[in-house]
Amino acid sequence: MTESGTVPRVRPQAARLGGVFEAVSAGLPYETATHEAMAPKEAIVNIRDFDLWYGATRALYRIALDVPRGEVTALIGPSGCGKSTLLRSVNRMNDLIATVRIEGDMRLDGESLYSAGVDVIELRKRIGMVFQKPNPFPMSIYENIAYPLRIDGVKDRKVLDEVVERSLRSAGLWDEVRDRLDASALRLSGGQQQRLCIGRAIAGNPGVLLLDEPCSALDPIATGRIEDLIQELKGQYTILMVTHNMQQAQRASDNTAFMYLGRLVEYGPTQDIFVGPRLKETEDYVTGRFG
Amino acid sequence: MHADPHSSASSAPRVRKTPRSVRRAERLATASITIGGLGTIAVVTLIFAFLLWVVWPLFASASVERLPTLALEGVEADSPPVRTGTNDEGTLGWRLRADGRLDVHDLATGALVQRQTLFEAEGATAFAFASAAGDDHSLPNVAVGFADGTMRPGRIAFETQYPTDVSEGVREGDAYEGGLLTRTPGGQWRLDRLQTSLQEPVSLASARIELLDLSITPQGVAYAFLAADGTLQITNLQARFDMMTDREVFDVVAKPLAYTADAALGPPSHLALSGIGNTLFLVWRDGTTWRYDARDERASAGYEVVEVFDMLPDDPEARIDRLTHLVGKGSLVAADQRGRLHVWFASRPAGAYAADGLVMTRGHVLVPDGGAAAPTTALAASPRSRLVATAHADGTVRLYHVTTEQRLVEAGTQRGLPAEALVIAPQENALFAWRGANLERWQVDVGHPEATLGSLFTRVWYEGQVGPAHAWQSEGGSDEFEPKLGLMPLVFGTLKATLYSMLIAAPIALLAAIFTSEFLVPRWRARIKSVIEMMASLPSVVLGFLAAVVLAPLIEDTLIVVLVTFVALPFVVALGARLWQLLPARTAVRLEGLPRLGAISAMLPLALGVGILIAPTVERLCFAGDVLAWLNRGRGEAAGGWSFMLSPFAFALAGLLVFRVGGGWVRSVSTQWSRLQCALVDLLRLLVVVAVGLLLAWLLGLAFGGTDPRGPTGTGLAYQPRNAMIVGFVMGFAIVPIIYTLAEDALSSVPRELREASLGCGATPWQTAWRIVVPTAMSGLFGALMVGIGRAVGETMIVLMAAGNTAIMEWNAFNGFRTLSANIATELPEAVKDSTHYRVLFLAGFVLFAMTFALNTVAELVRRRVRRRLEDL
Ligand SMILES: Nc1ncnc2c1ncn2[C@@H]1O[C@H](COP(=O)(O)OP(=O)(O)OP(=O)(O)O)[C@@H](O)[C@H]1O
Ligand SMILES: [Mg+2]
Repeated sequence: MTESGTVPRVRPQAARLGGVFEAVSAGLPYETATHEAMAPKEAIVNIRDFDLWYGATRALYRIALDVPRGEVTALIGPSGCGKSTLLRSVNRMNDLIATVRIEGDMRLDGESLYSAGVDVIELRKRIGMVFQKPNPFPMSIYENIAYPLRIDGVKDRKVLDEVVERSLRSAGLWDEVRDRLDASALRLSGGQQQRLCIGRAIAGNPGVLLLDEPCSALDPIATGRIEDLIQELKGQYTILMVTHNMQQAQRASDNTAFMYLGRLVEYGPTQDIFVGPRLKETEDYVTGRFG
Repeated sequence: MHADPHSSASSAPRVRKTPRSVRRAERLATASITIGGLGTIAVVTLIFAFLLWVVWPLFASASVERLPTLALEGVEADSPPVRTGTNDEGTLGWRLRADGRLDVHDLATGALVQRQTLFEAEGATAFAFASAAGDDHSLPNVAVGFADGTMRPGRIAFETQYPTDVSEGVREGDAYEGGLLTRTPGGQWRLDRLQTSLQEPVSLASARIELLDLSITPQGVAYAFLAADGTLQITNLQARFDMMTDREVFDVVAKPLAYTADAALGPPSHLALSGIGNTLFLVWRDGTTWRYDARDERASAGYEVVEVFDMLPDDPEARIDRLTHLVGKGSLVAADQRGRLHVWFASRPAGAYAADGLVMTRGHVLVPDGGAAAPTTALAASPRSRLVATAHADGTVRLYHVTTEQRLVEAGTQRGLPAEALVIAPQENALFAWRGANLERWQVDVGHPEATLGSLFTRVWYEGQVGPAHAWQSEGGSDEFEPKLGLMPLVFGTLKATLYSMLIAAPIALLAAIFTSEFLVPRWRARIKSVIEMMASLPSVVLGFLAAVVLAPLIEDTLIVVLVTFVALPFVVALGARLWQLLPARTAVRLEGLPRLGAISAMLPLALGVGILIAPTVERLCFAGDVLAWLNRGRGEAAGGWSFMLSPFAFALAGLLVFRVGGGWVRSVSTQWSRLQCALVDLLRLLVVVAVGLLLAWLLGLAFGGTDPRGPTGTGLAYQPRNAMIVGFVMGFAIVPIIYTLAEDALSSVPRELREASLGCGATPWQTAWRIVVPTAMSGLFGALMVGIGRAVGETMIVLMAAGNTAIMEWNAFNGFRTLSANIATELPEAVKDSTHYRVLFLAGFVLFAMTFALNTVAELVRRRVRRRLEDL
């Protein structure tokens, strides 16, 4: 296993040969095409040769990915390629699935996430997550946002009020719900619920935010709002997000990782991935000629 | 691609159509579901209607119909009877005059059937008649006292024969050999005839007998008399078979009573001897009553008056017109000049002043409509139940039920003439009033006077009791026993059974459900669930007899261990959790699965171990060395017991103090501590809680020590081997599976996304369970509890076998109780169809039905509310 922050393994020659999909489908070895431009960036999360199995089915193959601090990194790839699986592995949400087995390691700020004795609860407080489907608690809007503080034992009403307002403002929901903070969160629209979930994740003040297709259920206006929100949050938070929307990835992210059949195929600055991908497969995928 | 022959054959788009068979199946399914649903509703409604139909007559009011007045053949208008009577069917009536003439009349026609002279002597001065108990053919039921101080016991009773030698030409209804001849439904002849006999005179006193009474006692017959010379005596004639003469002879055993005539009072007007022949009442017209107690068989000197009271306490002008005993001779009924009835009986209150501990109390006052009526001219008690009839000077008659204080019937005679004698027919289906040469007759249907809404559901003052009380006692030793049909003790028992079993079942089932759904891997969850569900397959009768035969004696022997284990269990669990925290994080993670489950299951045996270990000490400190003796015989101080009983509260309070008040401070300084340090401090805090709790318990014991929970006589907190605690254990065990299964389903159906959202926020599994999963599943959990309660309310076999079935109303866990269901199960097979008892048992079933129905309705309403609140907030 290599140390974090070392030079990424790039084999442009192999990539230019093309036929990565065929190689992968045939089970032949391959190397991730990681752009050199990623090297100078300071990584907050290092994923090192990470494998994951659901029972006997392998879902992730030797993923190696460094997520730069304070930037937005997009995960793209066809459905079922393991984006959510990878995302959920970062805050060890996959622990909840009894059949999951992993190999390899991930690090957050240089500390291993998977070594024995890691306090998963503390870990999840540092890595917030927003799920593909909005999942507000059946409680009031206020209590939804206050939840991360409540579980930490915060009872001071002033602190709670302040955090709720700040989080809702950050999530761009404040103006819509300021008059009905005590109304049930289930009464909100799908887009509002998703922003509420983002607000809830922010309220916990995590360093890293994992967003799993946060806009999949939203109209263009709501999507635009969330993209704006991501731009605002960036810098303060490190964001790792899954998206199927190429424009969104292009607009909102700094870096893009392209996954295919459980493998990380190409990883680099978004601009490079979309304008000058190293691999033909990546180009086909981002231009919609994939299939 | 491989071409499909069908789609390629016709290129036109296929018109989609639902096949006919699918439509038919659809219709069939709809129809059968509709029929099934409607059928269920219909069956429930029918059961409801049937119960109502059986119960309804209980509340129907009495009815009365006046039959035409009869002229009695051969009776002079101005020769009043001293006593009258009828046969059981009310077809024949007798009428005795003071001069000894006894006439028997056919009560349907007024024809004279038989006339005889019972005694020749002119000087009959006193008469006494036994009430219903005189059914034994060998015992006298009448006594006549004479001016010469003698007394002749005798017997007047109807007897039925079935003659086979009735000559041709005799028709039904003819007078035949001094009796009434009828045909039985089977075509046999039946002859009802009055049989009389009077024994030879027994000399009782040297002066004329003024007042006389007799009672049939378990030992024989007891007579009481007052003679003109002031002799007041209770005399037992004890039958003995004399071998020499080959005849039965009577030994006279006299008990002299102290009596001196009081000039101011004058001579007494009534003398009444109690049912067992050992209490005598001497009554003056103004209500003054002396009570003599002659129970002490060995007293040689005269028995003294033990109590003097006024039967008519409200009104100094009042006077007693008539006096009689109720059936069983336990209650005296005095009719005053305004037609009111005062019912007195002895009770045993805590602070009785009389020497024998008894006090006469006026249990009931029966007041005619409007508060008063004309003076009473005749008073009769039913030989069967607590019905009394009065006749008044204005010619009216009234029928009352004493215990429930109801006036059932109020009727007038044809010509408004006062009756001289009154009889309630033994079958309580008719009322007869004699007046001169006439007989007034009423056909009555008293219905079920013992059962009113008041007597069934509120306190009733039964004979011999200190005051009104809830009571259920449907059967007694004798015919005179009055059934006590209060349903409240049974409702109470049902609630008590439910409470105690839910106290055990609800925490176990809910905690187990939360544990399995939130903390166990699915593989283990499925296994545990099926094991718990298997518990439900144990037949409740098996659980019942295990409870009664195995558990009850076991717990009685090891009571203190059981109690201590109860108190110790939370501590053992808390201690276990603290020790688990002390494990290195790595080890703890590695032991998450089966080992942790094992450790948790070991908590109960561990608590039991602790219980066994410290029980003797606790017993010595709190219960003077023997908990059963402490409970049952009032041994030891009250304070120790209080300390123990209140210790859970003390510990809870201590926990609250230490963790709530000290919690913030510990949290503020503990931020820098390591996991091990935190765990150690936690353990220390637990020990502090124990210490503070013990201190608090001791203080509480001192604070409450002034009042003894065992009551002054040690009856308040006594231990019965079959009690609520046993039922709680066993029925709790029986209803855990259903609550568990439903609760587990409710928890499992909480969307996984919510759990992930909570865990994703960094919540612990417990926080997730407690703050998200449980509130979301609340309506389901509530429903599970309600189903459990429904089960407990209706459960029969376990309570029947393990609850002791005593219909008492105490929340005490060591006492038994009787539930509606167990009561129905035991008594319905023996209840006479359509009797009051039978119908009240159906009413008990109806109440049970109503309780479960109300429970389900409330449950459903609450469930909806909770669900709506979750959505609306
Ligand atoms: N709980 C699970 N048990 C077994 N297999 C799973 C489980 N979850 C996901 N998989 C499998 O793992 C692979 C990756 O799934 P994943 O959800 O990560 O895909 P994805 O890239 O997020 O797809 P999408 O874009 O459709 O959300 C899929 O083949 C999927 O079938
Ligand atoms: Mg996905």
